[in-house]
Amino acid sequence: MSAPLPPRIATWLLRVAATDEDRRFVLDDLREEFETIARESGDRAARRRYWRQALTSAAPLAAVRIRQLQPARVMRSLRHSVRVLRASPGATVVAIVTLALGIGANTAVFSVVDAVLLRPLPYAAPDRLVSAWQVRDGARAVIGAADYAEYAAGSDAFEALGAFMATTRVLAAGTVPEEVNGDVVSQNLFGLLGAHAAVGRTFAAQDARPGADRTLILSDAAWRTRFGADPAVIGRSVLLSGQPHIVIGVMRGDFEAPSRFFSTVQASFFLCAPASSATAPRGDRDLRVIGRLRAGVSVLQAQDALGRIDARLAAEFPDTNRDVRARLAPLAADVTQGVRVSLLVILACVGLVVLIAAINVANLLIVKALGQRREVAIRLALGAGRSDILVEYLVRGLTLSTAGAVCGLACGVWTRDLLAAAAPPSIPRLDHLTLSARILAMTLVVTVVSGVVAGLLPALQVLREGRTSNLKVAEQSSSGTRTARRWQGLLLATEIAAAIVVALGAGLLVKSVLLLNRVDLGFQTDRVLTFQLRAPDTRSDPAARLAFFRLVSERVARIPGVRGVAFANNFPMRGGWSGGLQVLAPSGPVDAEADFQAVSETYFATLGVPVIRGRAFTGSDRSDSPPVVIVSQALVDRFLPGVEPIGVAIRRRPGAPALTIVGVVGDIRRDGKFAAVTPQVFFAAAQTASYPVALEAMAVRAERENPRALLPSIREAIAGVNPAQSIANIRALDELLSASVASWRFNMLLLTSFAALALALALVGVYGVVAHSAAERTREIGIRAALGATKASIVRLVVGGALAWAIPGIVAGLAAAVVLARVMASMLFSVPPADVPTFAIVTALMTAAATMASYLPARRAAAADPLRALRMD
Amino acid sequence: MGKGQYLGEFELYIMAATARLGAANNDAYGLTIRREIETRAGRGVAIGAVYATLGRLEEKRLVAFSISEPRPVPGGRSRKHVHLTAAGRRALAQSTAMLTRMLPGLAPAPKKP
Repeated sequence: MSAPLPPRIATWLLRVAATDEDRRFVLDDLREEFETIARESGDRAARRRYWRQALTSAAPLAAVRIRQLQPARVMRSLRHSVRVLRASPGATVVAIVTLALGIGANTAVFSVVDAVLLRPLPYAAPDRLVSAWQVRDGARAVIGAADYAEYAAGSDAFEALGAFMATTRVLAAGTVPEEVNGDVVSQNLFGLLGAHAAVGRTFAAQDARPGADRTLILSDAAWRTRFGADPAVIGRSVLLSGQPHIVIGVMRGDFEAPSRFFSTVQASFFLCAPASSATAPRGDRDLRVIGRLRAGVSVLQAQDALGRIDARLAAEFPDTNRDVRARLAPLAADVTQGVRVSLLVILACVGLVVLIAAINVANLLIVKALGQRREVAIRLALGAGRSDILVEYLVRGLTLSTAGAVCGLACGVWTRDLLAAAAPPSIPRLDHLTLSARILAMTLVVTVVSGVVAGLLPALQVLREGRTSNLKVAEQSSSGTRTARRWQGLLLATEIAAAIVVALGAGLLVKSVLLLNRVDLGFQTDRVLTFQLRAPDTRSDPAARLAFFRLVSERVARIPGVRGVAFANNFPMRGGWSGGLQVLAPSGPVDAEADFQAVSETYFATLGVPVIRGRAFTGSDRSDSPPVVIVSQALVDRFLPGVEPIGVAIRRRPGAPALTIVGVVGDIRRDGKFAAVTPQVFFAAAQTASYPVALEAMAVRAERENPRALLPSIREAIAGVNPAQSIANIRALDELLSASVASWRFNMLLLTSFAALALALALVGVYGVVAHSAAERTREIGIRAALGATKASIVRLVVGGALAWAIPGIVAGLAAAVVLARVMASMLFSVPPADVPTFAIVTALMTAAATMASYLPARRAAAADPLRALRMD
Repeated sequence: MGKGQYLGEFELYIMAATARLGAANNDAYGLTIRREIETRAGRGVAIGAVYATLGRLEEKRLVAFSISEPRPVPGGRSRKHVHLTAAGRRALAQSTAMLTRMLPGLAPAPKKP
């Protein structure tokens, strides 16, 4: 008799929903009914009836089942888990450490992501704040005061539109006048941000009126360090660059100036900008603009509103405003846009590390579970419910992951601080790392997910076995282990795929940093200290200025330990001045663009720029001698190809005095590693009277490392010339150089550490899987050996078995890595995302590592005595 | 049945069906209980709801189960037979008594079309 069978999926649904107690009876009842109806009214009616019963029964049955997971039962499983885990302390410690590393790294990175990307900006209703800029010639540009005034007056999309710009002033509070950073802000900026003064008040309309007293607001830090936190400072007059300002307020300690999000310096004071007018010179552009949208106005609507103003301005002022468009973005997104991609990539890589860790632990538990097949089969036979076993394994996985999370959280907090300390200053808001509820929630999610992964996989494994096997199941039964091996193979492939993604990301960054290191600046940055001497009283008198710099550099040169001293309008990597010129080539004048600087005779020697032809400046290049210039090789290559450059004249514009080229020096990248090599023109410092530039920077090359050690002597020498002279922007060129590549190094360092961690964990995983499967196959291997298989062929068999899983893993990993690399494009330096050599190296490395990790257990298996292997049962 | 412990509507149906089937030939188990309710009350009943409710009634000690020997036919199975306990019979009696006291005088339910 072949009775029709009830629908399988419906049966499965009931099987899953019902408790162990009810399952059999529910299924039998329905089956009995099914058979009756099938006999009486046919299969179709029976099936329909069965399905209806299954669908309506699932919910009440599942409700009972869920109610049955009582705390007492979970506690029992928990105690059992702890007992089981304590029985093999070695494996347990390995599992906990593995998870702790993954969860710890994840917590650390997520804290940074939380602080930088997720925490709302520290202003009132920050979601309505937008950042505004203009697009000029396809590039982002700051906004001029005239356009800002038009935007502010002409649009009702905003509650307010504010602006600020960074500035520096010499502050005369204290013994030595010092240059300090501050912001010039629009009168409404604090109100727009919802920021209040801790003492006194913020700016009001009257402060911006023409002819109003100059007013000043101090930052909390400046108030504490420079004014001893004295509340009586309000109303006092303070000299800023020689001009008296009345202190009207002190900001609160938790106030973050918006300028902090766009630069690495902290504003110490705030000045009130005079009310902007549309009549300001249209060429000057230096404002960063922040707006508060009216409630209900979207960013795009506001941008359209500004677009209408742009169209009008373009018609009115075609010279300056043609094709200029205002752009808006939410402020929170704008201030983090430079770091968002890299942080998310790093977070994704850490997520993969956690995945590998969880898989390793799952593997460990699977191996243990296979050892307990007999025990589980007995328990199932004696009436233990399948859900008992499931809960038990889940609890075991969660116990491990919780222990891992506790350790991970501890080391994560520590790692996070390490991370924050190593982070480049270009990552904003890192000074506010806290263990927020969001971070704890994220850690909890990671813990639960990794615990469930680690517990569920072995549970499914052992339950699958429990259903098919009987009490006679023995360790060497190959039918049961075949599925286990397939599971483990899949996990192995996943681990390898995850590891290869992280390794590839790291590889691309390592290559970027290597290429960055190889970029030749054209000058030597080591042991060079630079600083600025802005002497206000000599600004209008180039001769006096030159005399001052000569005198200072003579005195500094006498300091022991100083190898060379130079002065200029500015030094490389510290900004500069560029413009057009005419090269009077023998074939006719050529228009050119170049970077300009005015430099002392010692400039090239101090910076280590080689003189290729002709000469450097000398003491005989005076203000009354014929004007001379020195140019870089790039200028010669580009504008005087095949011409003897010495003796050729250039001039800054038609009709301006001709300047004779007396030397050619090596090319430099004036703006650092990321800049292109551009033509350079060097003027003699002694002849600056004819250029719109002032000497104000000095460089000192030390004989030994750490040029900052010379600073006290240098200060003394300068004070000897002019006690009132302030020294500003003291930076070693090496510091500037490493700051410019800091974010690259930081990303590389992070991803490389995670890649190392991922690789190590994945290899441990591969080793574990292969070792276990080789041990399971001891008998088979013994038979092969007894039948004459060589050791080499056995090693090949085992390693080949592992690679059969590892290679698909590698392929899948490479495919995922291509996606990651594309996302990472903006983090790379002259490395294409699909960089074939990097892919090849990482693939080779991964294959070699997987082979190695499976070779070790394979060799051990091959070395086993076949007789002992066969005698095992 | 303790004070304040009343039978829910569906519980009452199940208890009543169990009592009827038990009185007839001691044949109350999931399938027959469900059929009894379906034929008498004329409403569809999910087998899952029957078992879930039986579980709850057992917790309240109003019913008890006995697992029968497998029936002596090929593929024969054991059944989970349901009996009312003494407390269960009392609860059923009380509930039906309350119900009968409440019903007189009410308009008859509208006839099904």
